[in-house]
Amino acid sequence: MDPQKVDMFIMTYSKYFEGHQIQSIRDRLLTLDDSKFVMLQAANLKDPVITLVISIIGGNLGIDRFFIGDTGLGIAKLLTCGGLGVWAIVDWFLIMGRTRAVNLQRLQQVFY
Amino acid sequence: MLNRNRLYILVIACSIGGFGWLAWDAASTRSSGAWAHSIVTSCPVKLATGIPCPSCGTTRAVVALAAGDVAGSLQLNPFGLLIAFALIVFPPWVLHDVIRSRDGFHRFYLAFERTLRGSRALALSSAALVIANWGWNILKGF
Repeated sequence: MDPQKVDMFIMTYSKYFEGHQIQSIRDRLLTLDDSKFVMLQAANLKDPVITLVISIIGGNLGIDRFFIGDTGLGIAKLLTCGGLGVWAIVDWFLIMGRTRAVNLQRLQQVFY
Repeated sequence: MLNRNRLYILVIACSIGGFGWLAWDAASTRSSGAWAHSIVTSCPVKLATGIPCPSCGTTRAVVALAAGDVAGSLQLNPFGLLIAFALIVFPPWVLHDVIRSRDGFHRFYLAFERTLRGSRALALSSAALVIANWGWNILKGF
């Protein structure tokens, strides 16, 4: 893929991934075919900060988990009132890392 | 996509938490004659806004179900039935998978997620049921 496009993507989405993953993502994107760029744009990546805000506001109802695609865990949180409130609070600290992990999985789906 | 080990740790932790909460609830009911959650309100939504969340009354529903009162349990909160089912079925299934090094529960979980995500009608009707139950909870004044 064109290095300029790759750098533009990295600049836009660097906060969506763990810092140590950025270099390997860039290397992988450079080897990718140009035709994949549209798929890359449509990968539906989630912003970790938005997820954190949703987790603080609607974490008790599992909305944060639904948002990032963990539907099963979202239902579990909804049915248990956010794991009696405990899971909801634990998720304030975990949800950003989980969002970045989900983003990487979505990117890998584009790669393969 | 959640990996197998992480999912199993979560299910086991939730089961321990659930059974622990029920045991504490039963013990405090025996000693004080009051529901545990009338002493400690666990729901931050209710504490913050005064409005019950869709799952308010689930503990009481599970306790009523354990006492054999199915109608009373459904009246308190239909979620109790789902939670009781999950507490009875999921922990033995996960333990079986862990001991036998299998992934049956993980595959079931992924298939369940795929089904729900694949069918807009199913997802919307489930959401409508949850919202209806929420409305009912508010009307009941939990």
